[in-house]
Amino acid sequence: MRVDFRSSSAGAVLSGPTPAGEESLDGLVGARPIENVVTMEDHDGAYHAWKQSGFQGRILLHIDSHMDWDWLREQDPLDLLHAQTLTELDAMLKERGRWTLSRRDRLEPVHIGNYIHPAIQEGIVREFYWVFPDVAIGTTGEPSGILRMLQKMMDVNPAGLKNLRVRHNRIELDIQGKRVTACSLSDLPPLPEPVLLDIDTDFLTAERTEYMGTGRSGSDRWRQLPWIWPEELLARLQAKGVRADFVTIAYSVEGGFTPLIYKYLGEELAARLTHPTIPEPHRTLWACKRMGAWYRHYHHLDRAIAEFEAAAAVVPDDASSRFNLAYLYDEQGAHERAAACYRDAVRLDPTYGTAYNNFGHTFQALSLLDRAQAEYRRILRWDPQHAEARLGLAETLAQREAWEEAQIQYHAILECRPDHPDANRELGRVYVERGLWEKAILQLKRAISLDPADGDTYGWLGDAYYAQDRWNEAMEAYQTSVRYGHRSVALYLRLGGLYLGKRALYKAWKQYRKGVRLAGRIMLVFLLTAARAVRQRFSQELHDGHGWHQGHQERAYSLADH
Amino acid sequence: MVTDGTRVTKNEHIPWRIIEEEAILIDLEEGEVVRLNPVGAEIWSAIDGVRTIEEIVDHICRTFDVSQWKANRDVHRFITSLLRHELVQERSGA
Repeated sequence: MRVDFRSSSAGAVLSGPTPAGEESLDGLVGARPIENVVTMEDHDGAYHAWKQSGFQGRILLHIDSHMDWDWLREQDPLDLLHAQTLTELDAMLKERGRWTLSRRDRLEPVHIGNYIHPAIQEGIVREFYWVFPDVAIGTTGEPSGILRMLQKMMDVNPAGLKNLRVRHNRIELDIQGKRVTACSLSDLPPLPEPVLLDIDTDFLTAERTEYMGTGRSGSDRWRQLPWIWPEELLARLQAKGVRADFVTIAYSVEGGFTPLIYKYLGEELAARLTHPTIPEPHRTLWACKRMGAWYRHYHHLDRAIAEFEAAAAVVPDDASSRFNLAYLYDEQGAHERAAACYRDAVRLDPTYGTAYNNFGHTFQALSLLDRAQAEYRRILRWDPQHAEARLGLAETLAQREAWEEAQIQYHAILECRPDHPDANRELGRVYVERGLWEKAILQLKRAISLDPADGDTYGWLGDAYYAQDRWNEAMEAYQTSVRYGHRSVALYLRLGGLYLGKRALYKAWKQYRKGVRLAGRIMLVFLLTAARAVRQRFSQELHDGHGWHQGHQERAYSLADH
Repeated sequence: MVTDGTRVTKNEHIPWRIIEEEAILIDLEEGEVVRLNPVGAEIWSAIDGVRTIEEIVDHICRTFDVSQWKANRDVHRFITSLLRHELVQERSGA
């Protein structure tokens, strides 16, 4: 949907109480038009927008259901080499409980999970406020889920987060020397100057269960209602006297954070911020969609359809109305009408063809496979060529070990998209599971040619070679799998066995040890037996002593002492 | 089997740096930090794929107050250990 308000009277002021002084109205959210409103799909675009605008030393008001502070857990181990002294190095090691290395792309360090970090490091942001949804507040009146999460982060990175405390219902802490305040909208303190306002659309659609440590609920996602609507959010910010001169809004549909049925809420926020006095026909459009969502929630499908049809009539190029209609008609069994609405939506806005235009991923993550399959099949009814929906369907079939059916689905994807890397890889895995070793090897090699850095693919290739007693090739494939971040107990055990076969005893022991570590307590007893056998047999080899220190523990032998 | 004539090269996937005479190696695959004491760091620095083990032993004897016999034994053991942990590789064709 393209919103054009050029003909309306920009600069109109809403009635009602305002902070003292006309001057203080400048940039008042929801009252005065804000010229600079930037929308984006992925939230890290905000960092680039701030940087491009040359901001320095600003207050950031981050309104989001997620922290986007993952940098605290993702310390790059290569930073250790920047230490100037051994004391500094020891201090750095002490504050790093673990590393997260696998699947990290060092060429793209700024992502949706960490973009605020460089903004702070580069001085764009001097003070940081995170407003979390009201639904994060528990029955005790405290955001206990968020407190627990921060406490865990402090355990991992005690030097990164300090002075965690709760005052006046606000969580305060210091992150890398910067004051951070996390609170609900109600507890937001007065902000003395215009801020960088940064909103994630998923803030509006957050669920209480996300903050209770139970993840997303398995409720009917299509019938979900936002806990707050755009005009309410802006009214509450206005009541707090929040002023902004630059706004960034992320839709966050990709990844499944904001349901696609509510992507339009981000568009509505942007439009209301740039022009607080909403002209027709958009006032009617949003009112109709809101009513439609309510009726859908209460399963009054006829009324919901009437509202969304009315919305589509007042703004014919509004893709979201068509997309919402597609679901409603589908629920009524009007599949052809549903497919037509879906096609209209994708034609008007191709982003409605995304892999995240259904809740299959959500249900799959919740292990609700029947519901996930129903979601994928719905999209395939609307668009039989939708590769991502078919891939999801195939994955759920594979999860149920319905290998032959999964194979059919993967083949169907590859007929339309021969170079689809996931379909190629997963088809190879299906062949492995079915014991079709030669086919598996060919298929997995093809998958590797399309995506040479996927550790899982090498792991399955190793399995296929292993089953055929092709030990050297199996070992090479497993080693490559480990190099690309794949970790599994089975892999380590097999590698250990292969090393034993080659009488590479120390390496074998090392693999068994890794397997033990990974297996955890349940597997510990069983694997220790194997590891102990190796260790006892070759104890001399192991007790030769080594003139170096590994890990964080100093070994007894030191070359300098000799 | 490491002999006096063996040449080894550093594993190019191991980032490293000398800090206060110690060598700090980051083994990304293992997720471990490897610290070599000053003698280990000197041997590590001397490993270049060109010097033989015998030449490295001579270098250590010149750098530290240590007998040829003791340096020879320690360097052999140390490089065997580095090979075992795949921090260095035997140079092919050497």
